[in-house]
Amino acid sequence: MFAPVMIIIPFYILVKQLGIVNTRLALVLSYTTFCLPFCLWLLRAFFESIPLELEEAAMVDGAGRARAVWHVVLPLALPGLIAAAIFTFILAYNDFLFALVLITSEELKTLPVGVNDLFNATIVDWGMIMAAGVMITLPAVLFFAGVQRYLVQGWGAGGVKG
Amino acid sequence: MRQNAVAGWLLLAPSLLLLGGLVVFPVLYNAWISLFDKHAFLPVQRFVGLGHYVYFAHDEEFWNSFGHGLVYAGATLVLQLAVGIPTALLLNEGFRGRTLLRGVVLFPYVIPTIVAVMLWKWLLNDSYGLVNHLLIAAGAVRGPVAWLGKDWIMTSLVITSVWQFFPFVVVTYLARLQTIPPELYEAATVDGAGAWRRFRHVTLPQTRSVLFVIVLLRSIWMFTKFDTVWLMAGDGGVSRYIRTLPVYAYARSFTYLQAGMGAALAVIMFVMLIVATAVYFRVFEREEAMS
Repeated sequence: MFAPVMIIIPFYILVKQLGIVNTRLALVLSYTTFCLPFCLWLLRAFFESIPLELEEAAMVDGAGRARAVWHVVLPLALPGLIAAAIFTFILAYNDFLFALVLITSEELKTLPVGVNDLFNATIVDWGMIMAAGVMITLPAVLFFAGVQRYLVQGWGAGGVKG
Repeated sequence: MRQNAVAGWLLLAPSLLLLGGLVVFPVLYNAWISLFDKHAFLPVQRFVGLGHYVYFAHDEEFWNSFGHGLVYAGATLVLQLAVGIPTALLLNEGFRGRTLLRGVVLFPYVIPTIVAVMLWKWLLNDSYGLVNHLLIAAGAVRGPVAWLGKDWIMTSLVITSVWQFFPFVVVTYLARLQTIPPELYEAATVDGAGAWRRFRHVTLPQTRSVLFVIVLLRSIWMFTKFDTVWLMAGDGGVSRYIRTLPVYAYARSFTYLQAGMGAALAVIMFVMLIVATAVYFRVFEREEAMS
């Protein structure tokens, strides 16, 4: 896994050529790129740990492949899916570089970039900065607290964000 | 069987397409750009071959950034291990409030980088910061220390980063600790081993491979860390005292608008990491063979 800064230049140029600078689509594509390799790796480990016999048993009982996957495999892989979701959510929510480079308008700015602008204001209002900090930390912490128990397992299977 | 293979490829197709288009292609394209003198916004470019690489070989700023990166990655790695491993060992013991404490330890890792940085900037603020207040109250220093000034900015950056990332070491190490069979410790205790020897002869050998991964990932990630370093420095004049290669690459590309130079820096970092990783694997394999 490499760092965003090593890919940001070609990414920026490509995004510009595609005409999607300053769009949400550009950010969605960036974060997908960044999380996909790790998620593939993590999920593979989880799917591998589910015995093939379970799936076969479901199919013997008359379930099609799709139903076997939906009702047997996916529920068992749930901790892995949740770990992958947390990883992706936190990375995208926290990201600074892609949002800084790919977004130029006020309306589309993500929270980290917006809060940083408060620092660069003529008068640095610490009270306001701290309030913003609490506001943007809350969703991450709540999301995290809700799924925390799945976590140690997920992280044990590999690394996590940089 | 045949049908399975087709289904497999079909399921893989979206991921492969995305990876090819969004990872493999940009990396190659990046190497290509690095051969051009290319403006970041305007469609102006001129082929310079390996010119950028030759330039950086003599560029003082490049070597400074490289040095800062080594100091930063080295110091934060050592401190993350020094704080993270004892914490993991502690959290692996059974005591009241362990679950709560585990949640608390994870906290720094969950909060957004921007929040971590502004929190520490406030704590380390020279006139109103809590750190200076406590140091002065304790009589450890005579006057306020300029933590964000040029002499201390690297120390402040390291403190902030260690605080932010040591939970990764805790969680990863803890996950492995929990899989060590308790019988091993019981046997060691019966044989009269104290806490230190149990750690040395049971825990360490059992956790060797996870330590290997932790050291590898953390050093790569710290060496290529952009946001914490960049946010810590701000736009002020002190930024050059903590400028690392990722920040230098960003400055070249988006401040001086020399995309070709920025791309060359990315390639250099990429090669450095590959070489360092290869050497690391070699050394570790040799040690494995010896033990």
